[in-house]
Amino acid sequence: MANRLGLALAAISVLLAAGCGRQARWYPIESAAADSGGRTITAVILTGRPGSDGKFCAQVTDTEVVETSEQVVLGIKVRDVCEPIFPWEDGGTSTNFGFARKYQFHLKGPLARRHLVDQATQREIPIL
Amino acid sequence: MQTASIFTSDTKSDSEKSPVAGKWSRSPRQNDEYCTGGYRTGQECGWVVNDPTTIADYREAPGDPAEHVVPVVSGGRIGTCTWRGDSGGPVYTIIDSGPAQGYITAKGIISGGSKAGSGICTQYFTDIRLAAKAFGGDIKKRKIT
Repeated sequence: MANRLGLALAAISVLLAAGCGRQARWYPIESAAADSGGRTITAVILTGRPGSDGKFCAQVTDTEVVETSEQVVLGIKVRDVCEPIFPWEDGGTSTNFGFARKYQFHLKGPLARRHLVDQATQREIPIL
Repeated sequence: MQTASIFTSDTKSDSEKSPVAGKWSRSPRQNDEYCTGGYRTGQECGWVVNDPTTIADYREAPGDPAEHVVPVVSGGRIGTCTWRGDSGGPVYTIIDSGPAQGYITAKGIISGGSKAGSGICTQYFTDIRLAAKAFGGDIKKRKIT
């Protein structure tokens, strides 16, 4: 009985681990630019280039803005649909070229002197 | 103005630089150790050459044909893999003793790598000597003082 329970738990652990490969994660933002009013922020992320069908391996699943009086936290959530599902699968190889993709965020108030912070790294985003 | 230096920080938030003494006088060999300095991942050392003359089969997206790049050098390590945005960055060693201690010796240019989330990384680079031969000229060097 204990052996069966152990096997069942092991199987569940493997299945849970298997799902990790393609989980959406907060993705690092490389830089950002604010419009003249300071309310629209354009953030840039670097992913692989799109395939011949126009689809990206790195798919943006969610974006988030959290504003306080001191800072604005921007988040871009990405799921890599090309990552192997199972840990023992070969993920393949690719170039390390970075393909710049832009995402716009609309703030409730102007950015002004507030710090712009990346949700993924918790570091300040360079404003260009 | 001093030139001939590269960024050697392991984060993008500071601008630590090291002077470049020159480039390797021989091609990479198996078990050579090296560092990478990609824009995205910064300085990552502890890479070891696995195969000094190999082919990289790059596939950018599912369903796309593989692009064969030859000859490249493959290396491996456990930790942070090179990633998107690192291509074109330096591959180098750091001189650890003598008057040129802390100087950089160029070894190659980052090309690509495995899509490893597991932390077991394979990395590919172009030998700096092949790049210099193909493009002509040489890298900038700092006089050792």
